[in-house]
Amino acid sequence: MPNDEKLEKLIRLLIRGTTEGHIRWEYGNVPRSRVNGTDEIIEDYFTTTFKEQEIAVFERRYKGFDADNEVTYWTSAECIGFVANGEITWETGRQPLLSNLFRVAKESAADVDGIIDSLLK
Amino acid sequence: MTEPVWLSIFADVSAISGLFITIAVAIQVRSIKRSVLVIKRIPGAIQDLEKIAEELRETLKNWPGLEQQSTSALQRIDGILVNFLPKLTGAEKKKLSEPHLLIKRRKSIRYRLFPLTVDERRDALWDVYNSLMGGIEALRQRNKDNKERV
Repeated sequence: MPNDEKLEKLIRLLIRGTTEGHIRWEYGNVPRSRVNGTDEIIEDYFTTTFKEQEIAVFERRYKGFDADNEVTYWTSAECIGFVANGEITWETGRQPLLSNLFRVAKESAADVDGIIDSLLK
Repeated sequence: MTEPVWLSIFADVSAISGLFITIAVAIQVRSIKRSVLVIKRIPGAIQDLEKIAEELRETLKNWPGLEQQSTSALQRIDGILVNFLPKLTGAEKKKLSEPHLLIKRRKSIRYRLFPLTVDERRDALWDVYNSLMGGIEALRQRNKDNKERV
């Protein structure tokens, strides 16, 4: 397990780099090995290359179980992972700033600012 | 007929212990009232702080063009935290104290005597933004816990 503080620092760097426009994210295809044989759904999957390391940020939707009421419900969590040869080699969803990184990555991949600028020209 | 001595002692002890119990119950009620108020206020505070954090990020995205806007955002963050921080406890209090202290530092004499460069001001604003996001996440977790408890 990597150090939580170091990982948080990396996420902060990615958020800052993306916001300032030094890092750009792209929509990517979820590696099949990540979802095969699971009930999870991963629709939004974004990748970038930071210092020659491919990094992915994605949202996993999965079923949770409410033991008190004995019902299942859909929930989601954002994750960050390292990618090598098109496969996720490591991932985690245990970081407080991940939802924020996911949002800025999505904004970058969708080129929201570029679209708005071209519409306003 | 005179009442037995033990009965009078028992009455005195009961009266005194009753006073302590009343005080303890009053303290408990006050603390429950306070925590209910905090629980009610957390979702609103999360929304307000998220909105301001988004404004801060917009400022940082368009740096230094929109720098003036950050002053108003910082004042609003501080306005919320000055009122809200004393009501909090635990991790969320610790996390939200960070942006509060960073904003305070920006108002310090040292900061006024030795103004920072544009880049340093941006770094300082990023620190506030990151700490604020940490604080918001701590509040979200508390909110989740509260919902599960209900």
